[in-house]
Amino acid sequence: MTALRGDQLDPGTQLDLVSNVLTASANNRQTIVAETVIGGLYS
Amino acid sequence: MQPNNISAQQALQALDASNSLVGRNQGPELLNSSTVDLTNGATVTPNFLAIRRPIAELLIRLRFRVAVTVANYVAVGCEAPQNILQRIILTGSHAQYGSQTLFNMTGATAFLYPSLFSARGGGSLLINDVLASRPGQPITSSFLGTTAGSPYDVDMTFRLPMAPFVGIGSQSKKQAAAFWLQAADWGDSLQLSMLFGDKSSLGNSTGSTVTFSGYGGTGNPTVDVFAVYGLLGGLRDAFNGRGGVCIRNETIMNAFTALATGTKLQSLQKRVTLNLLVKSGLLETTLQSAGITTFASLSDRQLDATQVIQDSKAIRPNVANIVAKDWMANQFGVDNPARLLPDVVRRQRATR
Repeated sequence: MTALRGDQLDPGTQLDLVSNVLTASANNRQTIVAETVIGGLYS
Repeated sequence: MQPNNISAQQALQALDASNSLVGRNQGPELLNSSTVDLTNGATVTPNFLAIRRPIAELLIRLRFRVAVTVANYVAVGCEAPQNILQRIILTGSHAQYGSQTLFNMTGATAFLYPSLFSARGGGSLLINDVLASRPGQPITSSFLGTTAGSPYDVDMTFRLPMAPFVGIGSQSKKQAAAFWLQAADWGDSLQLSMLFGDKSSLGNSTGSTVTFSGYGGTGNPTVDVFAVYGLLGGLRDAFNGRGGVCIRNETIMNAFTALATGTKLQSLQKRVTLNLLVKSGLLETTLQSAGITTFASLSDRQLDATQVIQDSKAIRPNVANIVAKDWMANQFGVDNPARLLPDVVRRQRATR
């Protein structure tokens, strides 16, 4: 399985989710699901 | 010996056992059944989950009748009725990794999440014994919210896989097995909480009278929790004390209401990251009870060029969410229905 190995990044490295926002509204809402793993095949 | 160090003989035994695994799991076994108050909203917390054998996934079944009288819903939330399960939280204490929240997701997202990775992966929804369409483009509610269609007997299932999505073949289940919930790792510590909303989680009910009861109109709504136990055969001891943890955590953001370019939505934890799902839309704001979050609509035109940035470098450059989304749909062989807008949910798979 491929994955972003955030666990192997150097200390101080910043990892962000960025985006453009194309429509403006006071009722804008966003949700983010982050699927991460510890151990297992990535021990 | 450290948990992650095994001898050559143990490695060969594990390889043999892995090759013998056929990937057929036990069917769902009922763990808990209880009633739930949907009139006022409630939290249901079953007893600790029993790990009789490794848990591959959990299933939640919710059954109720909702009657709409006097007037129709003014507007039905696009994720009704699955949104009535406002939040699913699974916590536990892992022998090696300590206290963990394995699953923290809205019911609406949990309902469709597995279907993003396989054509037959998500939950199921029956309304008056008619199978509702799977969430498509655009996402629209299968619950009409009209007096003419009332009452609505709802029987739906949410699927919570405990391992990463690796496909449906037997070979791939060997990889998934490393993340199943093992008694040696979790003991009796697994705790499931289900936070249920009320009529406002189905939309704007101004002027209408909404009544919840048990399925078929008698008694109270019920929620059942099932476990699907994995059958490891000769591999059953291979992950004792070294099982992995798959964590799915959903956060809701309300700060991004103005036009912006390259704005940071969220700092990501520096963990092994398999998938990121971004859902965007407009909130229902009328007659919402405290603590309830209901999307009136979802849109793929609210955000664009959504991507992971490591320092100032894009992990996987993306300038058009629609293109990225379509590419991901092809990777998993899932339906990405008619190119109508606004559409559903976008996702981004981060790879090394």
